Amino acid sequence: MTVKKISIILIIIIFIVMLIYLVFREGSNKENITANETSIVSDAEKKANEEEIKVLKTMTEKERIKRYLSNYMMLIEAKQYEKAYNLLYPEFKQNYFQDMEKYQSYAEEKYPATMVLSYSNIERQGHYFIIYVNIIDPLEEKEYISQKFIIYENDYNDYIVSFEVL
Amino acid sequence: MLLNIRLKIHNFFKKYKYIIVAIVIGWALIIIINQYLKNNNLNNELKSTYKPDVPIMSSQTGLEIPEKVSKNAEEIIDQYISYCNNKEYEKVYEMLDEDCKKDMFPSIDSLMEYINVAYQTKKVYTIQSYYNNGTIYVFRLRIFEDILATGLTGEEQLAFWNELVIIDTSKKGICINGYIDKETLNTAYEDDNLKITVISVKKEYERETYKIKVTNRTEYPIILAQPDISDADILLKLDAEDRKLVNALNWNMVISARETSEYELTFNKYFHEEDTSRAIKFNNIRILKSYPAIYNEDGEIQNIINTYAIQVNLIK
Repeated sequence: MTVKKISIILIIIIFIVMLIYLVFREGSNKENITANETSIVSDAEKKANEEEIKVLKTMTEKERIKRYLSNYMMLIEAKQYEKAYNLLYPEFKQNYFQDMEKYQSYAEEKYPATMVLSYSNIERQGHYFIIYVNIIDPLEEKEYISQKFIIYENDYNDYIVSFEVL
Repeated sequence: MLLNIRLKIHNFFKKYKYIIVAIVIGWALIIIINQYLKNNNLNNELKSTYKPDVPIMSSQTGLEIPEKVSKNAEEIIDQYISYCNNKEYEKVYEMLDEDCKKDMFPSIDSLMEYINVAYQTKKVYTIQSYYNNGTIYVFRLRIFEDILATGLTGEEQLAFWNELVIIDTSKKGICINGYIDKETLNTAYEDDNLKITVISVKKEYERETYKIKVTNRTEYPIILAQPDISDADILLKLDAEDRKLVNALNWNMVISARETSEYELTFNKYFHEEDTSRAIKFNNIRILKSYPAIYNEDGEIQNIINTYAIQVNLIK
Protein backbone atom coordinates (compact mmCIF):
# COMPACT_ATOMS: atom_id res chain seq x y z
CA MET A 1 0.00 0.00 0.00
CA THR A 2 1.44 3.38 -0.93
CA VAL A 3 2.16 6.06 1.63
CA LYS A 4 -0.46 8.24 -0.03
CA LYS A 5 -3.20 5.68 0.43
CA ILE A 6 -2.25 5.03 4.03
CA SER A 7 -2.34 8.77 4.73
CA ILE A 8 -5.80 9.08 3.21
CA ILE A 9 -7.13 6.21 5.31
CA LEU A 10 -5.57 7.64 8.48
CA ILE A 11 -7.12 11.06 7.81
CA ILE A 12 -10.53 9.46 7.33
CA ILE A 13 -10.18 7.47 10.57
CA ILE A 14 -9.17 10.60 12.51
CA PHE A 15 -12.13 12.46 11.01
CA ILE A 16 -14.55 9.72 12.10
CA VAL A 17 -13.11 9.60 15.60
CA MET A 18 -13.47 13.39 15.95
CA LEU A 19 -17.03 13.21 14.70
CA ILE A 20 -17.85 10.47 17.22
CA TYR A 21 -16.39 12.60 19.99
CA LEU A 22 -18.40 15.66 19.00
CA VAL A 23 -21.66 13.71 18.72
CA PHE A 24 -21.45 11.64 21.86
CA ARG A 25 -19.97 14.10 24.30
CA GLU A 26 -22.17 15.61 27.07
CA GLY A 27 -23.59 19.14 26.75
CA SER A 28 -21.13 21.88 27.38
CA ASN A 29 -20.27 22.43 31.00
CA LYS A 30 -17.00 24.16 30.74
CA GLU A 31 -17.46 26.76 33.56
CA ASN A 32 -14.46 27.12 35.80
CA ILE A 33 -15.04 25.82 39.35
CA THR A 34 -14.50 29.33 40.59
CA ALA A 35 -17.25 30.79 38.35
CA ASN A 36 -19.66 33.07 40.14
CA GLU A 37 -22.87 31.82 41.68
CA THR A 38 -25.14 33.30 38.98
CA SER A 39 -23.56 31.30 36.16
CA ILE A 40 -23.65 28.08 38.20
CA VAL A 41 -27.36 28.69 39.07
CA SER A 42 -28.29 29.41 35.46
CA ASP A 43 -26.45 26.29 34.37
CA ALA A 44 -28.33 24.25 36.95
CA GLU A 45 -31.58 25.83 35.84
CA LYS A 46 -30.74 25.09 32.25
CA LYS A 47 -30.08 21.47 33.10
CA ALA A 48 -33.27 21.27 35.19
CA ASN A 49 -35.20 22.72 32.26
CA GLU A 50 -33.73 20.12 29.90
CA GLU A 51 -34.62 17.34 32.32
CA GLU A 52 -38.13 18.74 32.69
CA ILE A 53 -38.53 18.86 28.90
CA LYS A 54 -37.44 15.22 28.65
CA VAL A 55 -40.15 14.30 31.18
CA LEU A 56 -42.78 16.46 29.45
CA LYS A 57 -42.09 14.80 26.11
CA THR A 58 -43.21 11.49 27.56
CA MET A 59 -46.54 12.93 28.71
CA THR A 60 -49.88 13.40 27.01
CA GLU A 61 -51.09 16.91 26.43
CA LYS A 62 -53.49 16.82 29.38
CA GLU A 63 -50.79 15.52 31.70
CA ARG A 64 -48.45 18.30 30.57
CA ILE A 65 -50.99 21.03 31.29
CA LYS A 66 -51.68 19.63 34.74
CA ARG A 67 -47.96 19.51 35.38
CA TYR A 68 -47.53 23.15 34.34
CA LEU A 69 -50.25 24.21 36.73
CA SER A 70 -48.85 22.02 39.46
CA ASN A 71 -45.37 23.52 38.95
CA TYR A 72 -46.82 27.02 39.05
CA MET A 73 -48.66 26.32 42.33
CA MET A 74 -45.55 24.72 43.79
CA LEU A 75 -43.68 27.98 43.19
CA ILE A 76 -46.32 29.78 45.24
CA GLU A 77 -46.13 27.12 47.95
CA ALA A 78 -42.35 27.52 48.03
CA LYS A 79 -42.85 31.32 48.23
CA GLN A 80 -40.92 31.78 44.95
CA TYR A 81 -43.27 34.58 44.01
CA GLU A 82 -40.98 36.23 41.51
CA LYS A 83 -40.67 33.06 39.43
CA ALA A 84 -44.43 32.54 39.61
CA TYR A 85 -45.03 36.18 38.69
CA ASN A 86 -42.79 35.87 35.66
CA LEU A 87 -45.02 33.11 34.31
CA LEU A 88 -48.05 35.39 34.21
CA TYR A 89 -49.35 36.88 30.95
CA PRO A 90 -48.09 40.50 30.70
CA GLU A 91 -51.49 42.07 30.03
CA PHE A 92 -52.97 40.10 32.91
CA LYS A 93 -50.31 41.53 35.20
CA GLN A 94 -51.09 45.04 33.94
CA ASN A 95 -54.78 44.50 34.63
CA TYR A 96 -54.56 42.98 38.09
CA PHE A 97 -51.05 42.89 39.57
CA GLN A 98 -49.02 45.83 38.40
CA ASP A 99 -46.15 44.92 40.68
CA MET A 100 -44.88 41.81 42.35
CA GLU A 101 -45.77 42.99 45.83
CA LYS A 102 -49.46 43.14 44.94
CA TYR A 103 -49.23 39.65 43.51
CA GLN A 104 -47.44 38.33 46.59
CA SER A 105 -50.06 39.84 48.92
CA TYR A 106 -52.79 38.23 46.86
CA ALA A 107 -51.12 34.80 46.88
CA GLU A 108 -50.43 34.94 50.63
CA GLU A 109 -53.99 35.93 51.35
CA LYS A 110 -55.75 33.53 48.98
CA TYR A 111 -53.82 30.30 49.09
CA PRO A 112 -53.12 27.96 52.02
CA ALA A 113 -49.52 27.20 52.98
CA THR A 114 -49.79 23.73 51.46
CA MET A 115 -52.12 22.85 48.61
CA VAL A 116 -53.58 19.87 46.84
CA LEU A 117 -55.19 20.43 43.44
CA SER A 118 -58.33 18.61 42.42
CA TYR A 119 -59.27 19.07 38.75
CA SER A 120 -62.98 19.26 38.01
CA ASN A 121 -62.65 20.03 34.29
CA ILE A 122 -60.14 20.91 31.59
CA GLU A 123 -61.45 22.67 28.52
CA ARG A 124 -59.41 23.35 25.45
CA GLN A 125 -59.68 26.02 22.77
CA GLY A 126 -56.79 25.65 20.34
CA HIS A 127 -53.64 26.29 22.35
CA TYR A 128 -55.62 27.73 25.29
CA PHE A 129 -56.46 25.44 28.21
CA ILE A 130 -59.04 26.43 30.80
CA ILE A 131 -58.62 24.42 33.97
CA TYR A 132 -61.30 24.33 36.64
CA VAL A 133 -59.55 23.51 39.90
CA ASN A 134 -60.52 22.98 43.52
CA ILE A 135 -57.66 23.93 45.78
CA ILE A 136 -57.70 21.84 48.93
CA ASP A 137 -55.88 22.50 52.17
CA PRO A 138 -54.72 18.99 53.16
CA LEU A 139 -54.25 20.01 56.77
CA GLU A 140 -57.84 21.19 57.04
CA GLU A 141 -59.03 18.38 54.75
CA LYS A 142 -61.55 20.64 53.10
CA GLU A 143 -61.93 22.58 49.90
CA TYR A 144 -60.25 25.92 50.21
CA ILE A 145 -61.24 27.67 46.99
CA SER A 146 -62.40 26.91 43.46
CA GLN A 147 -60.60 28.79 40.76
CA LYS A 148 -60.16 28.85 36.99
CA PHE A 149 -56.70 28.92 35.45
CA ILE A 150 -55.77 29.57 31.85
CA ILE A 151 -52.60 28.09 30.42
CA TYR A 152 -51.25 28.76 26.93
CA GLU A 153 -48.54 26.35 25.83
CA ASN A 154 -46.00 27.74 23.33
CA ASP A 155 -43.65 24.80 23.51
CA TYR A 156 -42.43 22.19 25.97
CA ASN A 157 -42.02 23.89 29.35
CA ASP A 158 -42.72 27.24 27.71
CA TYR A 159 -46.11 28.44 28.86
CA ILE A 160 -48.05 31.41 30.11
CA VAL A 161 -50.43 31.43 33.06
CA SER A 162 -53.45 33.50 33.92
CA PHE A 163 -56.19 32.95 36.48
CA GLU A 164 -59.56 34.06 37.74
CA VAL A 165 -58.94 36.78 40.29
CA LEU A 166 -61.17 36.00 43.27
CA MET B 1 -8.76 -27.27 1.50
CA LEU B 2 -8.62 -24.90 4.43
CA LEU B 3 -5.64 -23.27 2.82
CA ASN B 4 -7.64 -22.77 -0.38
CA ILE B 5 -10.45 -21.08 1.50
CA ARG B 6 -8.03 -18.82 3.33
CA LEU B 7 -6.35 -18.00 0.05
CA LYS B 8 -9.67 -17.19 -1.58
CA ILE B 9 -10.68 -14.89 1.32
CA HIS B 10 -7.30 -13.20 1.22
CA ASN B 11 -7.58 -12.64 -2.54
CA PHE B 12 -11.14 -11.36 -2.15
CA PHE B 13 -10.11 -8.73 0.38
CA LYS B 14 -7.04 -7.84 -1.64
CA LYS B 15 -9.12 -7.39 -4.78
CA TYR B 16 -11.98 -5.38 -3.20
CA LYS B 17 -10.19 -3.67 -0.29
CA TYR B 18 -11.05 -0.12 -1.38
CA ILE B 19 -14.71 -0.91 -1.90
CA ILE B 20 -14.89 -2.61 1.50
CA VAL B 21 -13.20 0.34 3.22
CA ALA B 22 -15.61 2.72 1.48
CA ILE B 23 -18.63 0.65 2.60
CA VAL B 24 -17.38 0.48 6.21
CA ILE B 25 -16.79 4.25 6.29
CA GLY B 26 -20.18 4.94 4.75
CA TRP B 27 -21.89 2.63 7.23
CA ALA B 28 -20.08 4.26 10.16
CA LEU B 29 -21.18 7.70 8.95
CA ILE B 30 -24.81 6.59 8.75
CA ILE B 31 -24.67 5.26 12.32
CA ILE B 32 -23.04 8.46 13.53
CA ILE B 33 -25.57 10.73 11.84
CA ASN B 34 -28.43 8.62 13.17
CA GLN B 35 -27.05 8.84 16.69
CA TYR B 36 -26.57 12.58 16.29
CA LEU B 37 -30.17 13.03 15.29
CA LYS B 38 -31.36 10.92 18.25
CA ASN B 39 -29.23 12.80 20.74
CA ASN B 40 -30.22 16.21 19.51
CA ASN B 41 -33.81 15.11 19.08
CA LEU B 42 -34.54 17.20 16.00
CA ASN B 43 -38.18 16.17 16.17
CA ASN B 44 -39.05 18.75 18.82
CA GLU B 45 -42.56 19.35 17.61
CA LEU B 46 -45.08 19.78 20.41
CA LYS B 47 -47.25 16.67 20.76
CA SER B 48 -50.81 17.90 20.61
CA THR B 49 -54.28 16.67 19.80
CA TYR B 50 -54.98 20.07 18.22
CA LYS B 51 -54.76 19.57 14.47
CA PRO B 52 -55.73 22.90 12.88
CA ASP B 53 -54.68 21.78 9.39
CA VAL B 54 -56.94 18.73 9.23
CA PRO B 55 -60.38 19.72 7.90
CA ILE B 56 -63.22 18.67 10.18
CA MET B 57 -65.74 18.17 7.38
CA SER B 58 -63.48 16.39 4.90
CA SER B 59 -64.39 12.98 3.56
CA GLN B 60 -60.67 12.16 3.48
CA THR B 61 -60.05 11.60 7.18
CA GLY B 62 -56.78 12.89 8.56
CA LEU B 63 -55.62 14.55 5.34
CA GLU B 64 -54.00 17.93 6.05
CA ILE B 65 -54.41 20.92 3.79
CA PRO B 66 -51.18 21.92 1.97
CA GLU B 67 -48.65 23.64 4.21
CA LYS B 68 -48.33 26.63 1.89
CA VAL B 69 -52.10 27.21 1.99
CA SER B 70 -52.21 26.75 5.76
CA LYS B 71 -49.35 29.16 6.46
CA ASN B 72 -50.73 31.77 4.07
CA ALA B 73 -54.20 31.47 5.58
CA GLU B 74 -52.88 31.85 9.12
CA GLU B 75 -51.06 35.03 8.19
CA ILE B 76 -54.07 36.52 6.42
CA ILE B 77 -56.48 35.63 9.22
CA ASP B 78 -54.12 36.94 11.87
CA GLN B 79 -53.95 40.22 9.98
CA TYR B 80 -57.74 40.32 9.62
CA ILE B 81 -58.30 39.86 13.37
CA SER B 82 -55.60 42.36 14.17
CA TYR B 83 -57.19 45.00 11.92
CA CYS B 84 -60.61 44.30 13.49
CA ASN B 85 -59.18 44.65 17.00
CA ASN B 86 -57.44 47.89 16.06
CA LYS B 87 -60.58 49.23 14.27
CA GLU B 88 -58.65 49.68 11.00
CA TYR B 89 -61.86 49.53 8.97
CA GLU B 90 -60.42 50.49 5.59
CA LYS B 91 -57.77 47.81 5.82
CA VAL B 92 -60.37 45.18 6.65
CA TYR B 93 -62.50 46.39 3.75
CA GLU B 94 -59.58 46.13 1.37
CA MET B 95 -59.00 42.54 2.42
CA LEU B 96 -62.51 41.45 1.42
CA ASP B 97 -63.45 39.75 -1.83
CA GLU B 98 -65.44 42.00 -4.18
CA ASP B 99 -68.62 39.88 -4.20
CA CYS B 100 -68.47 39.56 -0.43
CA LYS B 101 -68.23 43.33 -0.12
CA LYS B 102 -71.18 43.92 -2.48
CA ASP B 103 -73.45 41.38 -0.84
CA MET B 104 -72.53 41.57 2.83
CA PHE B 105 -71.09 45.05 3.32
CA PRO B 106 -72.24 47.31 0.46
CA SER B 107 -70.63 50.28 2.18
CA ILE B 108 -67.74 50.62 4.59
CA ASP B 109 -70.23 51.98 7.15
CA SER B 110 -71.96 48.61 7.36
CA LEU B 111 -68.60 46.96 7.94
CA MET B 112 -67.75 49.52 10.61
CA GLU B 113 -70.99 48.74 12.37
CA TYR B 114 -70.23 45.03 12.31
CA ILE B 115 -66.69 45.48 13.64
CA ASN B 116 -67.72 47.94 16.35
CA VAL B 117 -70.21 45.44 17.73
CA ALA B 118 -68.20 42.24 17.31
CA TYR B 119 -64.85 43.66 18.36
CA GLN B 120 -65.93 46.02 21.10
CA THR B 121 -63.14 44.60 23.26
CA LYS B 122 -59.94 42.91 22.16
CA LYS B 123 -60.55 39.43 20.80
CA VAL B 124 -58.36 36.40 20.32
CA TYR B 125 -59.14 33.35 18.24
CA THR B 126 -58.36 29.77 17.45
CA ILE B 127 -58.31 28.49 13.89
CA GLN B 128 -59.46 25.18 12.48
CA SER B 129 -59.53 24.02 8.89
CA TYR B 130 -63.17 23.17 8.25
CA TYR B 131 -63.66 22.09 4.64
CA ASN B 132 -62.00 22.47 1.27
CA ASN B 133 -63.09 21.95 -2.29
CA GLY B 134 -60.76 22.71 -5.19
CA THR B 135 -59.30 26.14 -4.59
CA ILE B 136 -61.79 27.04 -1.85
CA TYR B 137 -60.63 26.61 1.75
CA VAL B 138 -63.02 27.17 4.64
CA PHE B 139 -61.63 27.96 8.09
CA ARG B 140 -63.61 28.10 11.31
CA LEU B 141 -62.47 30.75 13.74
CA ARG B 142 -63.55 30.54 17.34
CA ILE B 143 -63.46 34.09 18.61
CA PHE B 144 -63.52 35.10 22.25
CA GLU B 145 -62.26 37.62 24.77
CA ASP B 146 -58.55 37.66 25.52
CA ILE B 147 -58.91 35.20 28.36
CA LEU B 148 -55.22 35.35 29.23
CA ALA B 149 -55.65 39.05 29.94
CA THR B 150 -58.82 38.60 32.00
CA GLY B 151 -58.23 35.19 33.56
CA LEU B 152 -61.98 34.69 33.00
CA THR B 153 -62.47 36.86 36.08
CA GLY B 154 -66.18 37.35 36.69
CA GLU B 155 -67.17 34.87 33.97
CA GLU B 156 -68.80 31.52 34.68
CA GLN B 157 -67.46 30.02 31.48
CA LEU B 158 -65.98 30.95 28.15
CA ALA B 159 -68.30 32.76 25.74
CA PHE B 160 -67.34 32.57 22.08
CA TRP B 161 -68.74 32.73 18.58
CA ASN B 162 -67.75 30.91 15.42
CA GLU B 163 -66.95 32.69 12.21
CA LEU B 164 -66.30 31.00 8.89
CA VAL B 165 -63.61 32.63 6.80
CA ILE B 166 -63.30 31.46 3.21
CA ILE B 167 -60.13 31.79 1.16
CA ASP B 168 -60.26 31.01 -2.55
CA THR B 169 -56.68 30.68 -3.72
CA SER B 170 -57.75 31.53 -7.29
CA LYS B 171 -59.08 34.92 -6.21
CA LYS B 172 -57.88 37.98 -4.41
CA GLY B 173 -59.56 38.77 -1.12
CA ILE B 174 -61.18 36.77 1.66
CA CYS B 175 -64.80 36.17 2.49
CA ILE B 176 -66.14 36.35 6.02
CA ASN B 177 -69.34 35.33 7.82
CA GLY B 178 -69.54 32.15 5.77
CA TYR B 179 -69.92 33.90 2.41
CA ILE B 180 -68.64 31.71 -0.46
CA ASP B 181 -69.40 33.44 -3.76
CA LYS B 182 -72.07 34.65 -6.17
CA GLU B 183 -72.91 33.00 -9.47
CA THR B 184 -74.96 34.35 -12.36
CA LEU B 185 -77.41 31.74 -13.63
CA ASN B 186 -80.00 33.36 -15.96
CA THR B 187 -82.02 30.18 -16.36
CA ALA B 188 -85.74 30.48 -16.96
CA TYR B 189 -89.10 28.82 -17.34
CA GLU B 190 -91.88 30.42 -19.35
CA ASP B 191 -95.33 29.64 -20.57
CA ASP B 192 -98.37 31.70 -21.63
CA ASN B 193 -99.11 32.68 -18.02
CA LEU B 194 -95.75 33.61 -16.59
CA LYS B 195 -92.01 33.71 -16.94
CA ILE B 196 -89.75 32.92 -14.00
CA THR B 197 -86.05 33.74 -14.34
CA VAL B 198 -83.44 32.64 -11.81
CA ILE B 199 -80.98 35.52 -12.10
CA SER B 200 -78.26 34.51 -9.65
CA VAL B 201 -77.39 32.50 -6.58
CA LYS B 202 -75.52 33.76 -3.52
CA LYS B 203 -73.75 30.89 -1.81
CA GLU B 204 -72.96 30.93 1.86
CA TYR B 205 -71.59 27.98 3.81
CA GLU B 206 -74.97 27.11 5.32
CA ARG B 207 -77.41 28.34 2.67
CA GLU B 208 -78.10 29.31 -0.90
CA THR B 209 -80.12 32.40 -1.83
CA TYR B 210 -81.64 32.61 -5.30
CA LYS B 211 -82.64 35.92 -6.80
CA ILE B 212 -85.64 35.38 -9.09
CA LYS B 213 -87.72 37.59 -11.35
CA VAL B 214 -91.36 36.68 -12.00
CA THR B 215 -93.37 38.23 -14.84
CA ASN B 216 -97.14 37.77 -14.89
CA ARG B 217 -98.31 37.63 -18.51
CA THR B 218 -102.01 37.33 -17.68
CA GLU B 219 -104.83 39.71 -16.81
CA TYR B 220 -105.22 37.99 -13.47
CA PRO B 221 -103.32 37.85 -10.16
CA ILE B 222 -100.98 34.87 -9.72
CA ILE B 223 -100.11 33.40 -6.32
CA LEU B 224 -96.84 31.48 -5.93
CA ALA B 225 -96.92 31.20 -2.12
CA GLN B 226 -99.20 32.30 0.70
CA PRO B 227 -98.51 32.57 4.43
CA ASP B 228 -99.68 29.83 6.77
CA ILE B 229 -101.10 27.72 3.95
CA SER B 230 -98.33 25.36 2.94
CA ASP B 231 -94.57 25.18 3.46
CA ALA B 232 -94.05 23.09 0.32
CA ASP B 233 -95.23 25.54 -2.36
CA ILE B 234 -91.64 26.36 -3.29
CA LEU B 235 -88.87 23.78 -2.98
CA LEU B 236 -85.22 23.46 -3.95
CA LYS B 237 -84.71 20.23 -5.82
CA LEU B 238 -81.44 18.43 -4.97
CA ASP B 239 -80.20 15.08 -6.27
CA ALA B 240 -81.62 13.09 -3.38
CA GLU B 241 -84.29 15.32 -1.83
CA ASP B 242 -86.30 18.51 -1.94
CA ARG B 243 -85.50 21.35 0.47
CA LYS B 244 -88.05 23.79 1.85
CA LEU B 245 -87.76 27.53 1.71
CA VAL B 246 -86.44 29.19 4.89
CA ASN B 247 -89.43 30.72 6.73
CA ALA B 248 -91.69 29.07 4.15
CA LEU B 249 -94.88 29.83 6.05
CA ASN B 250 -94.17 33.58 6.15
CA TRP B 251 -94.04 34.05 2.39
CA ASN B 252 -96.71 36.00 0.54
CA MET B 253 -95.83 35.90 -3.16
CA VAL B 254 -98.60 37.46 -5.20
CA ILE B 255 -97.90 39.02 -8.60
CA SER B 256 -100.50 41.39 -9.98
CA ALA B 257 -101.67 41.27 -13.60
CA ARG B 258 -98.99 42.19 -16.15
CA GLU B 259 -96.49 42.99 -13.41
CA THR B 260 -92.96 41.86 -12.69
CA SER B 261 -91.59 41.27 -9.22
CA GLU B 262 -88.25 40.13 -7.82
CA TYR B 263 -87.72 37.88 -4.83
CA GLU B 264 -84.84 36.33 -2.92
CA LEU B 265 -85.46 32.72 -1.98
CA THR B 266 -83.22 31.19 0.70
CA PHE B 267 -82.78 27.48 1.23
CA ASN B 268 -80.66 25.73 3.85
CA LYS B 269 -77.86 23.88 2.08
CA TYR B 270 -74.37 23.27 3.38
CA PHE B 271 -71.45 23.91 1.07
CA HIS B 272 -69.94 20.53 2.01
CA GLU B 273 -73.05 18.63 0.87
CA GLU B 274 -72.37 16.57 -2.20
CA ASP B 275 -75.90 16.94 -3.55
CA THR B 276 -76.22 19.43 -6.41
CA SER B 277 -79.02 22.00 -6.58
CA ARG B 278 -80.90 21.07 -9.76
CA ALA B 279 -84.05 23.18 -9.90
CA ILE B 280 -86.54 25.34 -8.01
CA LYS B 281 -89.98 23.82 -7.91
CA PHE B 282 -93.14 25.92 -7.78
CA ASN B 283 -95.70 23.34 -6.73
CA ASN B 284 -98.80 25.41 -6.39
CA ILE B 285 -99.12 28.21 -8.94
CA ARG B 286 -102.63 29.62 -8.66
CA ILE B 287 -104.20 31.95 -11.20
CA LEU B 288 -107.18 33.72 -9.63
CA LYS B 289 -110.07 35.69 -11.10
CA SER B 290 -109.42 38.31 -8.46
CA TYR B 291 -107.38 38.82 -5.34
CA PRO B 292 -107.74 37.87 -2.49
CA ALA B 293 -108.66 34.22 -2.80
CA ILE B 294 -112.16 33.25 -1.68
CA TYR B 295 -112.32 30.00 0.27
CA ASN B 296 -115.31 27.69 0.73
CA GLU B 297 -116.08 25.75 3.89
CA ASP B 298 -113.72 22.98 2.84
CA GLY B 299 -110.80 25.38 2.46
CA GLU B 300 -110.78 25.24 -1.34
CA ILE B 301 -110.38 28.39 -3.41
CA GLN B 302 -113.59 29.26 -5.20
CA ASN B 303 -112.37 32.03 -7.52
CA ILE B 304 -109.54 30.06 -9.08
CA ILE B 305 -108.98 29.88 -12.85
CA ASN B 306 -106.11 27.42 -12.95
CA THR B 307 -103.56 25.71 -10.68
CA TYR B 308 -100.45 23.85 -11.74
CA ALA B 309 -96.82 23.11 -10.87
CA ILE B 310 -93.57 23.86 -12.72
CA GLN B 311 -89.85 23.80 -12.09
CA VAL B 312 -87.08 26.12 -13.18
CA ASN B 313 -83.83 24.30 -13.89
CA LEU B 314 -80.71 25.82 -12.36
CA ILE B 315 -78.26 24.16 -14.71
CA LYS B 316 -78.42 25.01 -18.42
